[in-house]
Formats: sequence, C-alpha cells, structure tokens
Amino acid sequence: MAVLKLQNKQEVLFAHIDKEYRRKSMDYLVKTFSMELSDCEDIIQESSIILYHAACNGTLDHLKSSLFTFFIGICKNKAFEKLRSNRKMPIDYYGIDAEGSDSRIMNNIENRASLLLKMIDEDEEVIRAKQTIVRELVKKLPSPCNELLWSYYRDGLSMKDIANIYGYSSESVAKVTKHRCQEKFRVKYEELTSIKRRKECNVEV
Amino acid sequence: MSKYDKLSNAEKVDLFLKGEFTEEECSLFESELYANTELRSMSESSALMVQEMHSIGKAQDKEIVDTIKRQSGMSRIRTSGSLGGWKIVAIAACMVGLIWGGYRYYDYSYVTGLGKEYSSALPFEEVVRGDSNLNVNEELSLLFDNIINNSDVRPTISRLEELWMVSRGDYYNEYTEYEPYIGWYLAIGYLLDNNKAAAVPILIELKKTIHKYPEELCGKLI
Repeated sequence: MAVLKLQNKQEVLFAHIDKEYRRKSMDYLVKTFSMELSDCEDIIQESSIILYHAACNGTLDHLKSSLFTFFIGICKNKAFEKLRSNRKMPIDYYGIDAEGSDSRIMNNIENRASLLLKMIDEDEEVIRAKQTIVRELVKKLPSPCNELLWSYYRDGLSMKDIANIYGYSSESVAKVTKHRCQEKFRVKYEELTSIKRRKECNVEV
Repeated sequence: MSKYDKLSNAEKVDLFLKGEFTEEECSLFESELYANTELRSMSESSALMVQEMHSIGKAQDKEIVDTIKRQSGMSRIRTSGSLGGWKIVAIAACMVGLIWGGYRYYDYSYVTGLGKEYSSALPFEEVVRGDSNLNVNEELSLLFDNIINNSDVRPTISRLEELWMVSRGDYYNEYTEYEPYIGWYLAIGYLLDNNKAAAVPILIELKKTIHKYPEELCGKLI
C-alpha cells in the first residue's frame, strides 16, 4: 500500500503525533472499556478518519480543547456505539457527555489560571518575564512529569484515564506522582526566578 | 478538621483551577494565598505552567491540523469530479494503513511500558555498602542509572549479561552479593529493549530471592 512520504519537519511531527495518539488511545480503550484489541483498532481507525476529515473541512480551526482531547472524545463515542451494538451495556451506562465536558473543563482551567495570577497580584511585566522561564521549564519537562502534567492540565484527562493510559497501578499512584512532579516544577521555578532576581539586583547595583 | 484543611497545597491549587471549590472554600483559598508562601508559590508556578501549556499546545495542534490539510492537498482537490474523490479515498486508505501498522506498536509499547514502570522499583541505594568495593559500586551505579534513565540500554544490557554470569559463578566474588540487583536491572533492560523472552527466565529465577516485584512482573508478562 502507498505510504505518505515524510519530507520536512512538520510531516515528521505529524507522523510522531499519529503514533503517540494511537498508543495512548489504545491503552485508554483497552483499560477503560475492557475491549478486545481488534475492536480498539477498528475504533482508532474510524476515529482517525473522522479526525482527518474534521481537519480538512475546517472543524478544527476553532477547537477549544486540545487536539488529543478531541480525538479521545471521538474514540469514547465510538466505544459506546460499539458496546451498545454488542449489547454489552445499557445506553446511558456511563452517563457522560463525551463531547462537551472536556472542552468546557479545558477552557475553564485556562481562564482560572489567569484569574489565579490576578489574585496573586503580580505586575504584568513581572509575569511576562516569568512566563519565559516557565516556557523553557515546560519544554524540558522530563518523563513521567511531561506525560502526567500535559495530560492533566492541557488534555483535561481525569487521573483515572491517565492511570489507564500510562499504566499506573492505580489512580492514587498516578495522583501522587503528579503532585510530586508539580512540587519539583515549583522548586525549579523558584530556583530560576530567584537567580534571575539576583542577576537583576547585581545589574542595578 | 474541615475537608479543606485536609488538602495538600497541590490539591488546593488543582481544585481551584478546575473550579471545584465551594464559595466558602474559594474564600478560604484566597485568604490563605496571602498568608501561605508555599501555597502562593505553588499557585503561581502551576498557573503559569497551565498558561504556557495551553499556549504551546494550541500552536502544536494548529501545526498538526495545517499539516493534515497540506498532506491531503485539499486546496487543490476539487470536490466535484470522480478524480478528486478518488484522491481523498487513496489518502484516507494511506492513513488507515499507517494506523493498522500501529497494532504491532501496541505490544512493544506494553512491554517497554512495564520496563519503565518497574525500573525504579528496587532502590539502588540498597546496593551500596560501607565496606564494599568502590569500583564495583561505581560501575554498577552507572549501569543501573542507564537502565533507570533508559539510556544506552543495549551496551548496558551486554555488560549486565556478563556480570549476571559472573555473580552466579561457582566461587564467591566481588559481584556475588549484588546478584539479585544485577539480575533485576538486566531483566528491566530486556523489557526496555522489548525482549520479553529474555526477561521472563531471569524474573522467574529472581522470584526465589526478591519475591514481590519479579512475581508481579511475571504475572503481567506471562
């Protein structure tokens, strides 16, 4: 069969993301819905085609959630359809709004982060300077902190879903690991912002 | 003690960010922000992290969507005409093919994922003893760190294979006491290298001495 040629950085990025999405979605579907591997593959194939068409027809141009959240939402819907057609569980078993809740949480979390910064009452210029430090820290997050923090704060996944996708033995273990990551991030952030402050003081003197 | 008081700083910040505090808890949180410097610091770093993740994430997602559009050549395909329609089907078929190949990736992902999960299960500190050979400790530190950090895995496996044989030799030597740890990290190295067949016999052997983790891992692999 024909294979798409990868020619530049953006195409390599696309291939990498495609592999990542498949891996995470497969783990999620197997552990959350206890589905057969072959059913999961079917769902991921169908969901990928839907994502592809959504990208092409402009549906994703104003996406409020992350792309992965959107994709996993499609997979969830497909999983429910599959389970209903197999008559394995009642229609409203999960009672979850598979499409809307994730993007509402996501939009909200970003707004509330801005609100929290206003409550802390830092000068806007100071915040902008700190954002540069944070950007570098976020880009260099080591595993497993990278996966945990991005999944929780950007993709809006629950700790239960995160535990399933990344193979943690329980939700609590994933949660404790995430909190440790948050604390490490805070410590590193404090270290770098105080170094910056000291440098600025020396310059002024 | 109220429910709010039992929360850690990280939990308070998360509940605030997700909008899951009651009005009363929100007030408590806001008051505590001024009094508790650690909470304030956690709040600031977490809020900035969330903002940056959303900013970087949006840019990355846009890049992916733009790449999909470019790959499909949608701007050049006309929706009317059977030739345009066939191009869309062919491209979708390519995507299906790429995804189907991902099935094999799942098995690899499962085995290597177990390697990553268990790589830190046996704390390396236990190996270091006051009167032990410093060169041996140094070498083992380096090898075990490679496994924990998933770097230079294959050369590390080769060396651990040699040491595994040595540590289990007929005569007592400088590696004998480290046998369970060498075996453990060798097994984890095999898993990281997606070599389940080599890892399992070592784990079965280790069940006699380390009990818990090799038993757990065997249960997941066999």
